[in-house]
Amino acid sequence: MRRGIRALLRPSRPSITRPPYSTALRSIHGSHAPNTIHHERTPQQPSSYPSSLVQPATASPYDQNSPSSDFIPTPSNPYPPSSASFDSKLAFYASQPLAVVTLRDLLRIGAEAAQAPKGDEVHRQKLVESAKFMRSEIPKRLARRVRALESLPFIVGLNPYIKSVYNLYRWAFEKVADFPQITDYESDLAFSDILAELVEAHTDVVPRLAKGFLESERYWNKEDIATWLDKMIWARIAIRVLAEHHHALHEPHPNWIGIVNTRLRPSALLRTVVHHCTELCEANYGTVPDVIVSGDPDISFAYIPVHLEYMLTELIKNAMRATVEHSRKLAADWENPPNSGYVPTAELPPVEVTISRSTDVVTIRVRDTGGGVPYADYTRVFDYNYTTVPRDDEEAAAIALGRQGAADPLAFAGLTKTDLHRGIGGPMAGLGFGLPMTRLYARYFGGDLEFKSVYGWGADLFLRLRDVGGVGDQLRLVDSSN
Amino acid sequence: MQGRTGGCTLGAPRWVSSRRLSTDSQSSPTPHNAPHSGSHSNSHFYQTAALDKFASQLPRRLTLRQLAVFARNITPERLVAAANFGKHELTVRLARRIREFQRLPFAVGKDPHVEMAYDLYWAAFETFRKEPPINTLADNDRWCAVLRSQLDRHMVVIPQLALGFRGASKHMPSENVDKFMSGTLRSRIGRRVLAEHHLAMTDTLARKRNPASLSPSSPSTSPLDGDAHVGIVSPNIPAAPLVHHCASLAASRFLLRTGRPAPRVVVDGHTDAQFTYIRDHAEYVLYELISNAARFSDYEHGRRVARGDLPPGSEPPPIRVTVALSPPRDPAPTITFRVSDTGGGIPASLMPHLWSYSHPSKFSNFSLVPRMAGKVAETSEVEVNLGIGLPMCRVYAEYWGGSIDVVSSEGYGTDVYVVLGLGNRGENVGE
Repeated sequence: MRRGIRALLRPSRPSITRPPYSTALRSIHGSHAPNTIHHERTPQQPSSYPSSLVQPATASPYDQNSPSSDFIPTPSNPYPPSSASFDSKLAFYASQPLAVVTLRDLLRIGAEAAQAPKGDEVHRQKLVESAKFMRSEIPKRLARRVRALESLPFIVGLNPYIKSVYNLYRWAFEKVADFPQITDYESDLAFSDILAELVEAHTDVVPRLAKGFLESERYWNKEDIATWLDKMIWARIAIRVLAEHHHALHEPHPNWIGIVNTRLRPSALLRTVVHHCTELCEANYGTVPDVIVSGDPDISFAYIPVHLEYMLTELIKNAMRATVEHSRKLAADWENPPNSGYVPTAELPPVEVTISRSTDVVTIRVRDTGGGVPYADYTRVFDYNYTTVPRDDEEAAAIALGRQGAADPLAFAGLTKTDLHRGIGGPMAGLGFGLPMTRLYARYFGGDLEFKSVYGWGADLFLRLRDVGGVGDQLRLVDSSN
Repeated sequence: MQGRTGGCTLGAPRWVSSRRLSTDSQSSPTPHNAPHSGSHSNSHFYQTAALDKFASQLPRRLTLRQLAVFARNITPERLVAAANFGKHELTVRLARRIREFQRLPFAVGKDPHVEMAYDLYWAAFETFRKEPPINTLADNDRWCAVLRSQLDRHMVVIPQLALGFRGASKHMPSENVDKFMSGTLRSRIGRRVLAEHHLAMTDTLARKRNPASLSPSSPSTSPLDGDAHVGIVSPNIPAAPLVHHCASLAASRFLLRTGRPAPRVVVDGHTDAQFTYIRDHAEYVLYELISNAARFSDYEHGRRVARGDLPPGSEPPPIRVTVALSPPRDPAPTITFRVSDTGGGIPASLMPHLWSYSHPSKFSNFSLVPRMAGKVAETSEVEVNLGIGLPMCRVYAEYWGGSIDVVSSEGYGTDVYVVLGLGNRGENVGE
């Protein structure tokens, strides 16, 4: 199913584990790439992405000498027993200031690359420039994530899920930091493959974090967890945007600049998302509400489709689940009807989606009849682990551990086994991460997610996204929201 | 209460003269031509002792349920007790508002319109304070006459304050202007609730004692009032008919104003919901929101037709009002009205000023509306858009612990969420 969506999103885009270009081609053109000297100046921060590309990438004393040439790290065994050199390398990268990258910068370099025919010398040169920048930027950002994980209370870090995430980041950091400097197209290809591998390996970081924090909730206060998670996920978005963008530059497509689709039609994407969610909902509940789309279905704008796809999926899934759950509750109460207005029918009331836009903002309103949320709980809707589905500790533990046959009311949590939703959020429904994550994604590029309840009847979620083609200059790929 | 000599008297020709005062600021009293002898506010400076005695007391907040229960079991003894309670409470609340006036920057307070409102507050305070205690039903009738005359006199307060505060943002932060205005409006609603409730209870008792005679001012009972009135509280108001009633009021105003039929209004959600509330309050909010929705839906529809997106003669999409009662046995019961229109939304640049009283675009029309009680009934007199409809709605919605929220989908429409608190919530008296 997910492959289906991907294919529809971008028909000819190769999967992230891209088959390498032919070696023959590499050897012919590889030598033409400019060879840059890296140690001639002190590490210095490029002021923007393009300017950084004409300067040498930030050099590290650790660049050329991999400390453990015999050791082959894997995600499960990421670092050698003696990690003194790892620690000093980490300290170095973590202390480097981040480059100020805006989405506009990514689009500009992407557009230049996209104009040249694939495999053409100019195209390759742009790729090498981009790779140099990524090679200098990504290890710094990964190092900061490792540091952030190390800052957790010891007991939290001992949690197997959290620890697995920590190991993943250490492994990723080493892989990138130990990669030689990019000199030519060939090294770019190798580097790009590594990025693809990392992106793939990190797919389910967020559900792992979710489970880990659900289990360690009592050791750490909720606000601290939320602050830490916000920052972690925010930074993760940036790293993935950089890595996936660079990878995508290798295969130019009309109307695409890297991972940005300049003519993204929300209504088209919505169709595939609804199809997917309908299958999930039916599989779990045996029934599913219709989704009605209104407003202006012809709207298109520049945005990152995987982000929009993730957000729409969360919103639709959320609305479907609430609708089914609430109507079941009403049906159960029907014996002695305490509430007015409910007439049991075979049909579930539809979920309504309205798409509209102003000059630079696209608004998508998702309206459900899932009963809404008490006004006292308004602010908690965006808390991690908040869910309207009642659950007791045992059930929570069951989801957290991914136990088979978790209780039925949590049906969507059961999807974690079948949901192939890989790429961004990973399988995480039922853990209460959907809405806070969606809001983070929306805010990342200057948008927002707003919740309004009609308590007793239903709820509206307003997803606002900025057309990133118009406002790219303001959108910096920062590490945290503050 | 003499009114000021500078151009406004509050006798019979009040309506005309206050209009003159409002529209022609040249004739308004200024520091130069205002006769000192006539200005109450000058002499008030030395009367602080009387004020302090009352202003230092906290208002006693009532709940809807208390109002209803008291009114349902009304007896002559209870009515007399209620009169004395009301007299004391009104005096306290007025004194506390007068204190707020005194804290305004001098530049704002000396504005002739503000000063006039201030004088009205003082006059009311003095009247209530000096009124002898009520011991008999005859005393109560006298007290009711005082209440009626004060309610009437204070109709000019909102327009006067609105005019007075037009330039106030030069002298104080606009948040403070908004705070003062909403505080004044809240307090005013509270005083009107007390006064009107007492008048209604007096009528109820009179009818109980003598069913044959119907006092002319007794509230007319309509199906929209649900079960019989208890004071000014209407138990079991049917929500959907109330929405339709407000929609038809709005539609007839719309037709008069534009010559076109208003967009239809459909009601969904808990269409047979009933709720206990002060009908005037709910009606004001719904009428105001539906009027707004109709105006913008019609405008946006016209724009789309002109652009060729829609065929000429097509109907604008209906305004949708969704009603929802909170689930039974909820600890904080509410009724929610969501008014959804397709009026194109609100430009992002206007959103920050939505709730402001002091935005330059607001208030300019007040010179045309000298009297205002904040009730739907009077909207037939009000020809213009005052721009404080939304802030007024908020004050009403929040009065019994509810809320109001506006969300715009720019390019499509607006959703307004009105939550009314039901049951045992205290008044939000603006402090």
